[in-house]
Formats: sequence, C-alpha cells, structure tokens
Amino acid sequence: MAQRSENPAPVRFDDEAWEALAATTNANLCFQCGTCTAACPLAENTPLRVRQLVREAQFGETDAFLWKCMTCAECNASCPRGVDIVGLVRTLRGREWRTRNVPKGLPTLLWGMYSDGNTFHLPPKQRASWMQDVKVPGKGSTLLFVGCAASYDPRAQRIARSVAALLNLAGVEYQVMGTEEVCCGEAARSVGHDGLFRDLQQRNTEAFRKRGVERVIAISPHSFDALKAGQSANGGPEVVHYTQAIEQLLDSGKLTKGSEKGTVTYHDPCYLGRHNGVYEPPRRLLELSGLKVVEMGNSRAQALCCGGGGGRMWMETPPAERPGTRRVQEAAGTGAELLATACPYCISVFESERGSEAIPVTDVAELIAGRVKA
Amino acid sequence: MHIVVCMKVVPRPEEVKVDLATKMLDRAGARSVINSSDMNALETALAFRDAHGGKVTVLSMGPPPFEPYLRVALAVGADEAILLSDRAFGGADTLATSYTLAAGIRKIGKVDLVLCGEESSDGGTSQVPPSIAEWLNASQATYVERLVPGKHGTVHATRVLEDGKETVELSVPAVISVVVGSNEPRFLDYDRWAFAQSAKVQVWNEKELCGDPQYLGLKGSPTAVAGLREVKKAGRRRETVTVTPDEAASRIKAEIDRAKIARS
Repeated sequence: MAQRSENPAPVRFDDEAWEALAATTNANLCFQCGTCTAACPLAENTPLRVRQLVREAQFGETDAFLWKCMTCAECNASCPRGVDIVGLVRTLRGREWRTRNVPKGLPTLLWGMYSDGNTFHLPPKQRASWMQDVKVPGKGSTLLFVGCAASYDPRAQRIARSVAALLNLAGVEYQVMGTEEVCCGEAARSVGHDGLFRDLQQRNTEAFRKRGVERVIAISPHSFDALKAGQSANGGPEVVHYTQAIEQLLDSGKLTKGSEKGTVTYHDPCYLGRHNGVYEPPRRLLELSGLKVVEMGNSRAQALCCGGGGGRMWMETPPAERPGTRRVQEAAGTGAELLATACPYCISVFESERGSEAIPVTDVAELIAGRVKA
Repeated sequence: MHIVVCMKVVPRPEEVKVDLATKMLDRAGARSVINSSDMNALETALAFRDAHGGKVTVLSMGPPPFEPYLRVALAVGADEAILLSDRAFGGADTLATSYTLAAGIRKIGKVDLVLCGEESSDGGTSQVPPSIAEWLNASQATYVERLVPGKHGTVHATRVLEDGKETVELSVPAVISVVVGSNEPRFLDYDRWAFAQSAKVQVWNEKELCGDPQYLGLKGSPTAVAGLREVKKAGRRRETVTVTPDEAASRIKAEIDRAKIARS
C-alpha cells in the first residue's frame, strides 16, 4: 500500500490545472472544515482523508490514496461549501492518466470497453445471452438499456430477466439493442478517463437516434447516472431507472399489489440515491410485493456505500477495508428476512463480502417479479 | 534510438474456427485485433522511448483494412506507421513474412531496435522475429520481458526461460521478441486521436520494397499444411465436494500431484 512520505518533495503550483479544477468543482471554496472526512465511510478503515485530498488538490498535488475513493458522494452531500468532491476525484484521476500513474488493471479494463464494448472482455455477440427465453416486444420508442453487468454476469442477468418480465406483465412496448448495445462508459468516467467515456456516450447517442428512442430505462444505477449525464447534455432521450419506470406502471394501475408476507430491508445504491435522489420508487415497489420494509440506521442520503463504485469493482480492496461486509452486517442487524437493493454492483459485492451473514441478497426487480399481478 | 515494432492484425483467437475441409482458418465470424504480444512489444518500445528518447515506428504486413489498426497504434503513442501491402505478399509463410518485414526495415534505413511479439496467436510459430534477425544479420534475443540501455550503445534484455531468467547484452541493431503479458499496454490517448486519424500511414507495395520477388508471398513460402485433424478437448470432471477451505486446498493439491505422476 502507498505510504505518505515523511519528507515530501517541494510543492510546485500548476496554476492552469488548478484553475481548471476550481472552475468545475468549486474546490477553491473549501475551507478545510473536515466534514467530508467525517462523512467518508473509508475514514474509519483506510488512510484516505478527503479533507487532505482537497487541500492537496488546492496546492496542485495529488493524494496518495486517490484511487481508494468509491465516489459514493457522502462527502458531496455533507459539504457546507458545495464542493463537488466526486468531480474533483474524477478530474484528479484524469490527470493521472496523462502521467500513466494509474492502478494496474485499469488500462486493460479500458481496452476491453473500447474494443469489446463491455467491462467483461467478452464478445459483443454474447451480449444478448441474458435474454434466453425472454420475449421482448421489440417496438416502440422506449428502450431497455441492460448494461454490461446484467448482460454478461450470470447472477445479474436474473435482474434483467425480471425487469423484462415486469414490463411484459404490464404490457409495455419497448425495445432492446441486444448485441448492438455498448457499455454506458460509467466505469471510464469513474476512473477519470473522460475521452473513452465521451466516445462510448457518442456511440450510444447515435444508436438511440437511429432507433428513434425517446425514453431509456436503465437497469444499473451506474448506467442510469452516466446516460442521464450524457443524454441531457446532448438533448437526447429521457433516461429513467427501472424502479422509476415500474413505479409509474403501479401508479397507472397496470400492476397490482401482491400478498407476500415478511420483512425486507433496502440498501440505497449510491448512484440511485445520493447521486440522483431516487429513494422512494424502490421502497414503493418492495411494498407492492406485500413485504414490510424495515429501514437500516444508515439509509437514504446516509446509506453506506457497498464499495463497488468509483471503479473499485476493478481494483482489489483488502478485506479489512471492505465496506460491503459492514453493510451486510447492518442489514442483518435489522432482523429483516431479506436484503434488497437495485444495483448489480451492490449485489455482486454483498454476495462476495457477506462473510458469515446468511441474509439473502436480492434485487428489487427479482423480488417483485412473480409476486405482483397485472 | 529508432525502434520499429512489428505488428500483426489477427482474428480474435476465441472467435476463430478451423475449416477442416480447406485446412484454413475461417475468419468470417471473427473480429480482428492487434496480436496480443505485439501490444506488449509496442508498450516495451514506448516505455523505452519515453525513458531514453528516440522514435517508435510501427510496421505491419497485410491488406489495406489493417490500416485502422496502425492508427490505433499511433493513438496509443507510436510516432509513425508503415503498412507493407501488395497482392504479391499474400499467402506468405513465416519465411516469406520475415523476408518482407526485413526488406521493409531495410527501406526504413537507420533502425536500432526491432521489437516483435513472441508469436502470433493465429500462427503460433515464434519463427518470424529470429528470421528477421537473420535476414538483417542483426543480433537477437527472444522471449524478452525487460529491456534497458546498456553501456556503449548496447541494450540489456532479460529473457524468460523455462527454469529462470537470463539477461543478455546485445549490440544494435538487434531484434527482440517480447513475452506476452510482460507489461500492461497503455490505453489510447484520446488527445492523440486527431493526429492518429490525420497522420500519413505509408503504404509500400512490392515495387517500392525493392525485394527479390522469388522470396515474397506464396512463391517464397516453402511451408505447406500437410494434414489437419481435430483434437478432442479433455472434458472437465466437474466434481463437487463440500469441505472447509483448508480441506479443499489439500484435496486440490493431492489431485494436482496425482495428475503430475500420471503424466510423468
């Protein structure tokens, strides 16, 4: 692990870089109150100190623990000065690409995204393998954007199939891009590679236009966030998360409540909750199944990150630093019978870092599919 | 130093099929990619240039559709790109390929190092780099994982052997084959994209290459595929046991040891 140097090199100011940072992130407004460090879920178990990271950035320096950040945005939410610390982290990481000072494995990740259009290094022709026997209407101006995880990861494919089943149940007309879909690019943005992010955004924007897409339903909150950012900038289609789309079906009476008994606790994915303020739709969907939702102490804007954001899915985290383990413990502590969330990364992290906790982990879509009626 | 990196565009190994009737690779359903160890060779060259100065030229032999891949190499960091392209080069085996590439290198002029990947994923002979060295009468080192400058204009190359490593000193010009996976190839630099798209990729045909026609393409290729048969894959045994991780580790170790005895 990197160590802070006892005798650091003299600080050199890079005025141009600093002005660029300040203009986009408000980093100049930071008065070092330390609220960010207090809010950061990594402060307890890792050497990352967000306040110090911002101070170093003000001096044109890059923090030694920059890559540990999960971009969970707890710091952004707590900052009294409105500094976009997540944006700052991405920009600082972008600078590291210029000097090729990036963690091992990330260039390989980006090569895969560039040439295969996914984060799994798998052929594009396997991208529709999630569909199996799922029937997609294949018409209309609504597009279900599946994303890399739900397309390729066998565990997450179940989420995609559940979302499609719910849309089918409600008689929604939609299309999928199948083998023509490419990565949303969120992983590139998280690790600071704006060039690749914009490249993939452009490929998607063109595909949306060609297909006459007016509305995109994203399965992963990461795709939701990235596509939303890209499409609103380009005047592209409206982008929603699947929990929002299905909530609308509920409101319009196209789906009716199930009669399941029991309790479930809900984990807010950072890119759905804090990044986009979507807190109620997933909870309403869980109630739709008939289950009672039990809240964890840290929920909604205070939800603890699973640890998979900010490109951390592709970097190794020492066991003692894994926030996922702590989060599953917190969920089990509520006494709920199930832990539900609405992000393929969160599920993947929880299932691999659950430790001795036996609480089953499920996606909201999986949980309600088969439990609600048309 | 002027470093030339030889680069081959190959079908993706996992997507290619073998046509048993024609004994040829069926590339129809396969996407193309820059050969994996050639990317390691390019990274070795760029890192060497970045640390010690010089220039990197990528050189490939192939049809015009290879050009975009050379532009990728330019966007990654190469300074110049040359494509040797002519129908007369077609059907080349390793001998004719190495002759053509060597002729290209000669035409470039002052070259200090020629870096190649250890082998191509579609040919897999590893013969081209040593053959280039022979045609150029240059020193050579194969299966190199590390390359640093030595004294008096030499280079030191660390070779990966079956039972260890060996560092050799070479006078230049030298031809080096780079071990696959010896580094992590840097990603595209989007700031170089405009340059990579507008840069001139020089295309040299048979006439411009000034080589001896009898050594080129099919005519210069003594290799013929005499036979081809399908080898059945060893099936997985798919045994599932429910034990503690420690027990599982000893169990796996015992299985490996047993397999080793059976094979030896």
